Amino acid sequence: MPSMSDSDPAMITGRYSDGASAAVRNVVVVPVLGGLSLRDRDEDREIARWPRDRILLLDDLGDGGARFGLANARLTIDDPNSAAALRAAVPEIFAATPPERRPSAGLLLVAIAAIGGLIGTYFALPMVSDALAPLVPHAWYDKVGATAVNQIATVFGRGEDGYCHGEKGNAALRDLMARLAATTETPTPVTVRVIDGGMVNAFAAPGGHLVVMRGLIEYVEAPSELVGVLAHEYAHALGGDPESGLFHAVIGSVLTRVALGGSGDVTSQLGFVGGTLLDLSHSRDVEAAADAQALEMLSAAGLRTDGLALFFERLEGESEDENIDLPGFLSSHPKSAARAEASKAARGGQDRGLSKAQWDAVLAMCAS
Amino acid sequence: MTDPVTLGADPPPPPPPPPGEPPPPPGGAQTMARYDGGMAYLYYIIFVNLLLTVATLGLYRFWAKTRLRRFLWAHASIAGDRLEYAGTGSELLRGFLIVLFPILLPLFLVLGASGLAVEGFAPDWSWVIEVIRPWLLLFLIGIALYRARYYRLTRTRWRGIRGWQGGSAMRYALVLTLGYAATAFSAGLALPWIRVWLFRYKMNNTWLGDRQFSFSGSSGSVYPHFFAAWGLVFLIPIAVIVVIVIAAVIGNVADPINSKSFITMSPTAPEFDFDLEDLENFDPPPWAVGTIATILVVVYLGGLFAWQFYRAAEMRLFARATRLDPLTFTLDLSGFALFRFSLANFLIILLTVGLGIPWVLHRSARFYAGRLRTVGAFDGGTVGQNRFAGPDTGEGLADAFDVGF
Repeated sequence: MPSMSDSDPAMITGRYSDGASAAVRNVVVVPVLGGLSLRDRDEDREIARWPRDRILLLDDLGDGGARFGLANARLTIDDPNSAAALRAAVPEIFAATPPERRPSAGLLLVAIAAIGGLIGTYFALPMVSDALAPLVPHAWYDKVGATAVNQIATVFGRGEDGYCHGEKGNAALRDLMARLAATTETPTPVTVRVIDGGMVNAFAAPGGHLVVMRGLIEYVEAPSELVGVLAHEYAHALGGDPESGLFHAVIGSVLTRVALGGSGDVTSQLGFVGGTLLDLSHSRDVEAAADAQALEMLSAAGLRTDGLALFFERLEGESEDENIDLPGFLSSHPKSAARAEASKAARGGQDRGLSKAQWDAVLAMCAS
Repeated sequence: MTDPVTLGADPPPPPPPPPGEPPPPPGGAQTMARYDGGMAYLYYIIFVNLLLTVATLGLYRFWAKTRLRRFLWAHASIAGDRLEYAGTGSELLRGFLIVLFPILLPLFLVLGASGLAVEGFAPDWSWVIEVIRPWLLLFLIGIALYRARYYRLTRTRWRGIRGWQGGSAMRYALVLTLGYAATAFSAGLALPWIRVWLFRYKMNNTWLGDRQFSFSGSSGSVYPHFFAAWGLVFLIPIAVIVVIVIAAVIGNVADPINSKSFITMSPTAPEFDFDLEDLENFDPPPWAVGTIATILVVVYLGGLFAWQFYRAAEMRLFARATRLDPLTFTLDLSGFALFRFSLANFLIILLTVGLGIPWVLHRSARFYAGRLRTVGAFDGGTVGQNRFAGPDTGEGLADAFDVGF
């Protein structure tokens, strides 16, 4: 604001309003014992006296200018010379920030507790999810899983429904799953479907819906690799991992967004359950457990156990070379060295799991 | 929804004008608004805010918002006196916590669970959820916006006098939701009407101290500007496509060898045997596809251009029809000026990959302040302090939805 201190350079000028009305007056500020005397410039009389210890600095206006408050009353010093003179006379009022601008200790505690609670919940999520998942009936998982897999097939697959078809290939996969299931005490019914998409990916959706992508079938160099991957996914299904993973992902995303603000339409995320499932990644422990169980089943069924390790080793090696993104289901997998060791320790048979004719039938599913 | 380009159009509530620095202007005199914040310091504030917000997992954002607002308000003067922002970060945090646990979490869980349940058991009905959800959220956003404005007004002071807002957030949100539904069903035609209604409701419920603002405008004066944009965006492309399809049809008729199943000609006389199913097999010639795409792009750019003229007309109306007796406002803003300004903002953000956002904020504040004027003499002595201090907490819902500024 324009300078008013044209006559006397030592004169401190400002604008004052008393907080009771929107009237404003040009004042001369005179530092006096114990505070400031505010004098009306036009009438040359004192209109207010501010005790120094009750004055608060409300705003820094640049160029040294400042706005001060005392309850609802305001004093604005815009002229740099006036501001400098005032600062020299009563420097302490330039440091009197309102106490309410500093967060109180209690509030800070509440906030830290809230954030800590959210973070704690986040890390406790696997346990919470594991506890919640069994409460939902299998029929619901079956429907959600089927819907989600269909969504994924529509989005990522080619052709009418996005799936690869072939009676013989499907029968071969069914036989394989039956052999694996026969080795467990409490088998879970599963269906395996092949999606006609190029990603090198396989996953277990809730409700026992296992999915292999065409890209993975084309990528493997031997049937035992596919058998290993399927055993791994079957182990997930047996462990109920996709079901708790679903809870984990949904609750986690809601919490994260709510905690960080700007949550937008959180619920729209839930619309495409398929997307959530595709990004599902289990913890390293869960993956290691699935690996162990897969090897156990393969051994018990007299199948080769090195396929899974070979497959991951090659995929990881290539992803390092070419810097390609690992699919979500790989990102938290145990290191391939550990996996190779484990699979060596397991004693499998020499059976590749799929006969030549069966393997050809599987390959033929997506060939058309 | 935070759109720095429109800053100043709405957030700082137009306060009143009284005696200027020099003796009060006589009746009819005009006083320019003014923004004198430094851009370097604005960058500094935003940069520090960003650092602290990231370092605290987002917790600092309440203080960050507060700090930015205090700076912007303090450097915006209306009728010669600066605004003041008196809110605190603690209030915003408390508002957030109050909204988070009892309202938002249960709401999201219920919405999420109902969505999953329908998807699992009745996938054929999932569209019902899809239809209801956005309108429900729009309603909540309406409440959030109105409540947030209430909080901001009660924390905005001018000459030490607090602002205030009456009215009902539920009513505002209900009209907003129904209004946008009407807009959807009328192919956009209801938009100016609903926008002006919402602004009128806000202004008629806005107070400075014990003095109420009033808004007497109607959407009639902005409709001509709206039709120009609307016509460009909706009608012209449709007309163009129709013309091109007709041209393609005639082209096929003239070239029977190349005509496909789209049009079947009898051996005797040219005869259109048009069937909707044939449209699926319609294979438009490449030139038509290219032409349609080009025209659509041009038309939408034109629509954006025309939209700036509408926005300018609307903002002029908002200023002109607002009154704080005996004070009135004018906004000297042409559609072309707004277009150039918005285009520059867009280019700045694009070319600086977002680093120019504070710059855009800065130039927006200057742009609008340099065009807003208060008209008339105002005796500040007749406006008393409002005895309501306003809510103790602020903006929880708006923060959760990331709406408002």
